[in-house]
Amino acid sequence: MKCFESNEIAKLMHAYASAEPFRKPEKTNPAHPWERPLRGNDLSGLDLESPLAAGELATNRSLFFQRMLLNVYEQSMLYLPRAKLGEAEMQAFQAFYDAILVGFGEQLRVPLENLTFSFLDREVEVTGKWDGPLLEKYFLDVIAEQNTKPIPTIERALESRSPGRLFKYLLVQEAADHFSEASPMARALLGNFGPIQSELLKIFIDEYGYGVHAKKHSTLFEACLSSLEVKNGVHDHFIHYMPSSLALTNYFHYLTINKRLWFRYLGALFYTEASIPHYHKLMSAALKRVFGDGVDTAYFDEHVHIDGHHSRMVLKDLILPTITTHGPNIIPEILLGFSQFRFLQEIADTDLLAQFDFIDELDVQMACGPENALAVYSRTGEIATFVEPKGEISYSHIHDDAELFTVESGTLDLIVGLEPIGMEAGQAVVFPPGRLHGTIVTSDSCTYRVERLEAK
Amino acid sequence: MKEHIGFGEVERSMRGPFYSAGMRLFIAFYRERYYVLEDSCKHRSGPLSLGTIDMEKGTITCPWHELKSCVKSLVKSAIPSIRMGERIEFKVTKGTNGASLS
Repeated sequence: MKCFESNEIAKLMHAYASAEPFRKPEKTNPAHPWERPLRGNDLSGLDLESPLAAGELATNRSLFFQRMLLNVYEQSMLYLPRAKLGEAEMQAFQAFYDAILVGFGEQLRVPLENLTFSFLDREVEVTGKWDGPLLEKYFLDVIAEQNTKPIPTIERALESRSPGRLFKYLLVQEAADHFSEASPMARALLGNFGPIQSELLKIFIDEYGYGVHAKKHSTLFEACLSSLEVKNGVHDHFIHYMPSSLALTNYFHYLTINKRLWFRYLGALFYTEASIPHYHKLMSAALKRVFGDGVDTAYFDEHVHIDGHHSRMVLKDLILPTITTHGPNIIPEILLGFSQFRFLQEIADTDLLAQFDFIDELDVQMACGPENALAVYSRTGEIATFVEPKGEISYSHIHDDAELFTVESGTLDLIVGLEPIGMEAGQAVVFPPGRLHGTIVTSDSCTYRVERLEAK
Repeated sequence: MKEHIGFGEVERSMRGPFYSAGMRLFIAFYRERYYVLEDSCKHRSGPLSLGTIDMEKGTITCPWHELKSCVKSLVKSAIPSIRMGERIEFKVTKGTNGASLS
């Protein structure tokens, strides 16, 4: 069912993206949890009609939609900073939760979900006659096989010359979810749906630390970041969230806000709970290996233990009883949730590996110049030159084509990993297509040139 | 009843026929969906994968004796499978289904 004409969506998106919380910031570090820039100026060049394809997750269009969708979902949740609310913070708080703005977001939610997630219905399908025992065997078989394999992102970060930098970046990608961990589950709990509601509550109690704030999973995650001297306020790293990381977080909001997708949620929940113990066991060991005893791995160690229980509880106490009650017709939906999230996770891993390569490759480019990186591209001569004053931010974004980026005068910082990379006149780097990056001018004025490149 | 022994994986571009634990299988694309089917005509186990699909009539004609099978019926007995992008995972059953083509 078509709910909006594209020009209506465009108008609403313009209105939403130009609201105070989503405008271009004055600094790269957000002042509070409600500062979530959207780069509304990109809107005019974006296709707002065609849903994203599976191969389009690492694009600027995807980034724009996923950022906006996260903001829409999170306007129905409460975020407060740790420090006292001053006058400016109170204004920002009111602006983020402004009733008209929230209303715009609610109108945009379904079109945004269609743009961002409908590809999953085309790329993942379930056929044939399944029953409860076969579903259980399949789930356990997939997880058992995963548990025998290394985690590619962890392996890649360990191989880096600067593993600490990549592990911090990995943690920041997960932060989009972990700062509000299990909030979609809280949304899933509402209503009245029989004994499984109470079973889900048992899992939720663990996620929220039994009412003890220090035990709440999001608190454990914040402590991990803090032990690594990484900023740990809610969405302090909004600028670094990759679209595929946001998609993983948004997918659970999508499943739980749309009640028709309840059975899909059960499958996705099992996949994530069952995958985590192995992943977090390797993550905890890797963090200790890279950062030594000073790193707080309680977040990961807790999940190795508790998610072993959660995966059993989701399967035995939620999924199988649901199939017994409602019959085999719901099985394809449960399988879809499991497989869609698995598919999305694979895309996100591939995207993050490419970003890791980009971050490490920048070291080489800064030291030796961009010649090697340029070798796989042809120059097009399509050049745009920018002159920007001190403090001007080009908020993080993505290009579909590769670019040769050259500083002609002045200085600026590249925003790629968590640490800024200083560039001065005469230096140049190649941005491959699909890689998240931004800049901030650090001299009184800076002139830089951008040339579009084509793959050879 | 055929014995279920695990799950297999195949690329959707494979189409088939391909073998899994003694079963000859193929992938049929019908009404925008991919199905993993036994590659065996109910008549004399002919290779349906080499048959001709008539989308309008919804039939597949076995190349051996030109027996027409209803695709809608065939997909009802499709092997349980999940497609994620290019990859299809399917239930593997031990057995044989007709003569080898090789």
